[in-house]
Amino acid sequence: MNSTEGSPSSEIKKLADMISDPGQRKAFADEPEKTATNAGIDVGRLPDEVRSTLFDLSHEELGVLARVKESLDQAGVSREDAAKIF
Amino acid sequence: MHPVAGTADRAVETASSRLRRKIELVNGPFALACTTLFRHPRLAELWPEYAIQTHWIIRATVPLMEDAETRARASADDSVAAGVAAFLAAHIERERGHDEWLLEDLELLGVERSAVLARVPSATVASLVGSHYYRIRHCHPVALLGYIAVMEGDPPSPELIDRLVAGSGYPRAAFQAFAAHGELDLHHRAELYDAIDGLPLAPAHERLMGLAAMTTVELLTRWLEEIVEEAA
Repeated sequence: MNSTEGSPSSEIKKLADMISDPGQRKAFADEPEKTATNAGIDVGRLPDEVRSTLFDLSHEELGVLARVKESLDQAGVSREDAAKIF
Repeated sequence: MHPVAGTADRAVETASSRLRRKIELVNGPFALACTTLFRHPRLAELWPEYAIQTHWIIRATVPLMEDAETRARASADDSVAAGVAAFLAAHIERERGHDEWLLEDLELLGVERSAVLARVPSATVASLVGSHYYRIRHCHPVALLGYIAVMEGDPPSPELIDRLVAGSGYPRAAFQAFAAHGELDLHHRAELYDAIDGLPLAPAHERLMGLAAMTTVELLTRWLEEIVEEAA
């Protein structure tokens, strides 16, 4: 069993992956809490600051965030480190 | 009545703090790109190119702000625009002439100003600066505050200046513009945050500022990466 499962960092990773998907990103911008919950993310485990910031981002702002994450992935930055940007 | 956990933080949350958090979301790769450049083993070779390209950006600072101020003043019955215009009117004077400092620094590095001015800026720099003209003219001049928040948000420390002098072997006098920004931007940053928090911002204004800021970080990162890549 993954010891980080259900931890704030694992929920942040799930959120980052969700935002990488264009369709999910649009849905998240429109209805953040519902979309995150439907994606299996325990929003109650997200740190307050992360939650309030990400849930308030526009679709366009989320697009910048997704591109930054993608460039980190392509550069070979570890998923652990990439998750820290959130 | 007992406060609920987290309530106190939200009570002091401001538009500028929300903007800073958005910048922090995308700042990791930018910090990495800065570190890669500033600690590069061939810093002496890279630094003049970095300074030249910084001049491309900095020379547009005052014209950008003047454009935004003009647009803001033309927006009648817009209290956000009026506040932006008032801030910019003062800030333009604080920033005027800083591009000249860079040209002077470059001359100390052996780069003639005519050579700097003859270069055609990269598409990345044009996108970085040009996108703000678009937002100022076609969205709202408040967008420019997102750009300024990034450009003045993380001023170089005296320790970094020391490291750059030591790592490059160039005279300290050739870092005049960089060092001056380290001192001035601390004050400018505080003035900017006060100005943002004094504006009657709607969520749409904050999102526009946030997008401008996050895009600025993204393009600055690409710009620094290109400088290092092209020197390889």
